[in-house]
Amino acid sequence: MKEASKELMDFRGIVLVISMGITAGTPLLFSSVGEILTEKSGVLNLGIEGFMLMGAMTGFMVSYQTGNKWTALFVVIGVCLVLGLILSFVLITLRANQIAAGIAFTIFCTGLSTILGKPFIGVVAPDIFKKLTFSGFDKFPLLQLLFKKDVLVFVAIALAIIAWIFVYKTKSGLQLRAAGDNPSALDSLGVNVILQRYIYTTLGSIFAGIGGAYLSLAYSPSWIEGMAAGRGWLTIALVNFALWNPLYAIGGAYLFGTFYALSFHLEAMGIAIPSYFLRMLPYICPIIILIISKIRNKRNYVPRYLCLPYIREAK
Amino acid sequence: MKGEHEMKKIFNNMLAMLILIVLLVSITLTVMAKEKLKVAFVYNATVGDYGWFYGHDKARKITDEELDFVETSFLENVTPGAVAERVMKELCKDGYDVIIPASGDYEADVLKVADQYPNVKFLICGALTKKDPNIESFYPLSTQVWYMLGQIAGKLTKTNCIGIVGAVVYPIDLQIQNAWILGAKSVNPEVVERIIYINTYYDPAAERDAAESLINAGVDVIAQNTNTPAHVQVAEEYGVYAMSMFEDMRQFGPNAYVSGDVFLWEKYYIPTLTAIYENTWKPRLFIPDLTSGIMDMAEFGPMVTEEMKAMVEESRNKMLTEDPTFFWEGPIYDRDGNLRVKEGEKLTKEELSGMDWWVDGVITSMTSK
Amino acid sequence: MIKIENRRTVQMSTAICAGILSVLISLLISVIVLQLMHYKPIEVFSKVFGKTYFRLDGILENLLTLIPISLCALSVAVPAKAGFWNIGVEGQFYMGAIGATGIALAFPYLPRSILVPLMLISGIILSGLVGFLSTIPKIKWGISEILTTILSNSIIIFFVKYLVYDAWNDPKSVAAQTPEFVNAAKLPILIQGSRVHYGFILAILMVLGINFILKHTIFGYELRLTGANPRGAEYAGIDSKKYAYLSMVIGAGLAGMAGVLEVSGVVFRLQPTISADYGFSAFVIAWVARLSPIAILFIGYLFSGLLVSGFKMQMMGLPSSIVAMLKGLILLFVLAGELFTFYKFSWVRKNGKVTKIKKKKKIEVLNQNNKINFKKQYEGGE
Repeated sequence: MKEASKELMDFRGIVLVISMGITAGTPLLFSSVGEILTEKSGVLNLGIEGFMLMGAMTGFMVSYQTGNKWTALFVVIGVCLVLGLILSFVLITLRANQIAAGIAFTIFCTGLSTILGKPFIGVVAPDIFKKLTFSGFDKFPLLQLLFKKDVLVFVAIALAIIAWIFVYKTKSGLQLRAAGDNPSALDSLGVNVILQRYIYTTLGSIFAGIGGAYLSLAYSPSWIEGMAAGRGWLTIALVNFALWNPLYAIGGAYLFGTFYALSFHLEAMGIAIPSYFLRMLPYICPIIILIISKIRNKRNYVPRYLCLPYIREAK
Repeated sequence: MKGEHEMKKIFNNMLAMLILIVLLVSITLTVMAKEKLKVAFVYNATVGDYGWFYGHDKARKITDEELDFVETSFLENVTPGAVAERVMKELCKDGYDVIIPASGDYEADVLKVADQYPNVKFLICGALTKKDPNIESFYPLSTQVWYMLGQIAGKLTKTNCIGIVGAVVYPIDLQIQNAWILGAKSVNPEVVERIIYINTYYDPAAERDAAESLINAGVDVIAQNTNTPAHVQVAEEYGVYAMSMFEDMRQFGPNAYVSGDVFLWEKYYIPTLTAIYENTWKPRLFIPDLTSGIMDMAEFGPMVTEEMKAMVEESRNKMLTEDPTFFWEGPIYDRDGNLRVKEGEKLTKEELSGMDWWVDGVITSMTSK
Repeated sequence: MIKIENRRTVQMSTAICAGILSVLISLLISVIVLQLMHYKPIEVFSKVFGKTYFRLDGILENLLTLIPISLCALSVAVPAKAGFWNIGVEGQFYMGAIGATGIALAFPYLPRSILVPLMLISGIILSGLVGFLSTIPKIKWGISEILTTILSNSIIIFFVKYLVYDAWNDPKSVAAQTPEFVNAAKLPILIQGSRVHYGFILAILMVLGINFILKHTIFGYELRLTGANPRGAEYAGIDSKKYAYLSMVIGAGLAGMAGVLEVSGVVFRLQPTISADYGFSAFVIAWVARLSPIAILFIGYLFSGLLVSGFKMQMMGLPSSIVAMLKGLILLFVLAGELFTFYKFSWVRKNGKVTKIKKKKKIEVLNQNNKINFKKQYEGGE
C-alpha cells in the first residue's frame, strides 16, 4: 500500500481535527454538565441516552412542522421537563433501583422515539442551526476555522462555566453538593433534599435533551432512529473522567470528540489500520485515561450518597 | 289442459337446465381464475432514509399500482439470521407467493427456508445465488454509471482529490469505488480517491464527520455508499461537489449536487412478477447493466458543462453499442503497484464479482486480500 | 399522611402480583398510545399473542428464543446478586460467538463430539475474559463496572464487524457473513419439526444448576451475602474481591455460552446481527424476575413470545419498535412497583391520633400491663 499521506498530519490538520472534535464533543458537553448536576445531588440518571433520543426526535419533528428552530428547542425543553419529572418521581419518590430504572427508561425512550419519529426519517428540516462566521478573524484563517461554529457550541461552553460558578461559588451550589455528599446534614438545616434532587435530575434531563436536539438540529440535521449512538453512555464515562467538575467536563467532552475526529482523519490519510479499530478509539481511550488519572489521584470525587435514595427516617 | 301442463313442464326443465349450466360454467370460471399474487418485501432496515430500501419500497409502490394482480406488503428491520429465518417461514406459512429479501445478507436464511416451500418464489436483491426451483438473485452492476460519473468527477475536481464515504466493505461497493476512480483517471490521471468507512449503512452523524474529514483532507467531490444524504449537506456547506448513490439527493444540497446513480427497481419487478403470475418464470442469476434501464444517472446539476455531457454520452454509447465493460481493460494496477490486469486483457465476470482489491489511486485504511 | 417504613420480609406473592400488574399496565398504556396514533392495537395484540402462545409452532419458536434469553438473563442476574452490574451482555454474547466461530472455522475436520465442546470452551473463555477485564478497573481503581461493560459492548461490536467483513469473510458469498459451519459444528435438533436444538437442554441445566448453587451451596450463600450486605460479608471474612471477579466472569461466561449456542445451533455462521437485542432484553427479564433463576425461566418464556411477535405485529400494521417500548415500560413499572414490595404503607392521621380500632387494641394491651401514663405519652407522639 502506498504510504499514508503524512502531509495531512501537519499543524493545519491538527487544528482541523480539534475543530471537528469541538463540534463532536458539544452534545456530550451538554449532557455531561446536566449529569454532573444530577449526580452531585445524589441521583444517578442512566436515562441520558433516552433523553438525548427524545430531544433529538422532538427537536427535529417540531423544527420540521413549525419551521422554527427556537420553537423546536423550546418544545424540547418542555418535553424533557415532563419526562425528567416522571423519571425523578420513579427514582426519588418511588425509590426504584436507580440503575435498573434508568436503563429501563432508556429502553422505553428508544422505542418511543423510534415510533414517533418514523414519519420524519429522510426529510429535510427547514430551519437548523447554521455555523457562524466572525469577521474579526479574517487575518487568521485557522482561527476562523476553529471558531466557525453554530451558536449552540458557545451556549454549551457558557453553560458549563455558569454551572461551575453555580456549584462551587454560590450558596445554592453548596446545597447541591450537600444533597449528594451529606443529605441528612442538609436536611437538618431545613433544606428539602427531595426537592433539590428533583430539580437537578430534571435539569440534567433537560440538558441531555438539548444535547440530543443539537444532534438533529445542528450536527447532522436529520432524524434517524437510534441517532444518539451510545453518546448517553459515553456521558457517564465523561462525568467520571471530569471528576464531577463542569469545567473539566469542557476539556473532557472535547477530548472525546477529538478522538472521534482523529479516527476519521487517520482513515482519510490512509493509515494502515482497518477502520474498525480506528473507530474503537473513542471508547478505549476514556477507559485508559480514567485508569491513568485514578492511579495518579487516589482521592474519590464521587458524591458519597450517589445512587442511594434519601429516606428521612432511615439511619 | 294436459298439453299446456306438459309444455310448462318442458319449459321448466329447460330453464332449470339452463340455470344449472350457467352455474356450472361460472363456478368453473371462478375456480380457474387466478388469485392475486401475494408479494412480501423484506428489508434489513427502515424505509424512510433515501437509501437502498427506500428505492425498493418506491418501486414496490409503483409495482402495486401498475399491476392489479399483485398485492404487496413489506417488513422493516428484519435482521438477517435467526430472526429473518423465522420471518420468512412465517411469510411462507401465511400463504405468500413471492418473497423479496432486498439485501444480499439474507442469502443464508433464504437457502434454509426455500427448500421447505418449493412453491414460494424468492427474489434476492444483491446476492449471487440461483437455485431451482425457486431462488433467483438479481445483482445490480452499477459500475457503468459510476465510470461515467467518475469522468465528470475527474473534470470537476480542482484538487485532484475525490472521496467516498463508505459503509462496509461490500463487493458491490468496492467495484463501484474502483469504477469511479477509473473514470476519473481516464480524464485526469493525477486523481486520487480517499475512502472513509463508517462501518454501518446508517449513521448520518458519522457520515457527516467522515465527509468533513474527507474535505479536510482535500477532497472536493464526495460520493457515498451509505444510505443517508448527509454528505450532500456537508458538501453544500463547504462549497464542494457531491454525487450520490441510490437516489437523487439534490434537495439536500442544490448547489453541490452533481449527479448520481438511481435505481428504478420497478423495471425489474414488473416484468418478473408478471412472468411469475403467468407461470413463465424460471429462476436465473440476473446481473442487469445499463441496457436494462434499471439503473441510470440522475439529472445533471448546474455545474455540469456541455463538454462533460458530451463526454459522458460518448462513453454511454460505447457501453451500449461496443463493449459494456471496456473500462475494465488492462493495464490495471492495484494499490500496491501490482499488475492485476494485463495490457489487452479484461476482467472476467467472475473476477469482477469476486473483486476484493482496490485500483491504484485509492487511499483507504481498509485491508484487502 | 402515608407513612412508609421498611418491610421486614419481601413476600413472593406481592412480587409476583407486582410483576403481573406491571405487565398489564404497560400493555394498557401501549394500547392507549397506539390507539391515539390510529393503529388497531387490541385486535392486533389478541391475534398475535394468540398465535404466539397458543399454537404449537409459536410455542416452539418461543422455546428457541428462550435459550439465549435465559442464559443472558442469568448473565445479568448472577453478578447482580453479588452486587455488580453486568451491562456488557451484548458484547459478551458476541465474544462467545466469535470464540465458537474461530474454532469451527479452524478445525472443520474434527468430529462433533470434540468440536462442539471445544467451541463451547473457547467461547466461554473469551467472554469470561471480557468479564474479567471489565472488573479489574473496579477492583483496582474504583472505576465502575457499569462504564467498562457498556463501553466494551461497542468495542466488541466493531471487532465482530472486522471479522465478518474482513478477516473471516466468506469468499463464496457477497453477504456479511463468515463461511457456513461444517455439519460437525452444528448442534442437532432436539424437537423435530422445529428449530429447537440440544442447546435447550444446556440452557435448562444452567438455570437449574445456578439456582442450586445460589441457594444450596456455601459459594452461593457467600456470593449473595456480598451483594445483600457488603459490610456484613466483610465482617464475616468473605473476600468481596474474589466474588466480584467470580460473579462477573461467570456472568460473562453465561452470555458467551448463549452466543456459542446461537451460532452453532441456529445460524451456523457468524454475522453482525445474531443478537436480536438480547442484551437489554436480558436485563429487563432479570430484573422483572427479581434475579431468581427459576422465575427467569418463566418470565423469559413470556418475553420470548413478546420478542418473537414483534414481526407479526408489524405485518398487521403496528410500528416495528412497539416491542422495544413495551420492554422498557414493563421494567419501569416493575421497578416503580418495587416501592410496594419493599416498603409497607400504613395510614396515620395527621394530628397523630391513631385510628379507633388501633386505639382500642392499645388500651386493652396497656390496661393489661397497667402502664396508663406510658400509653398517653405514646399516643401523643408522632
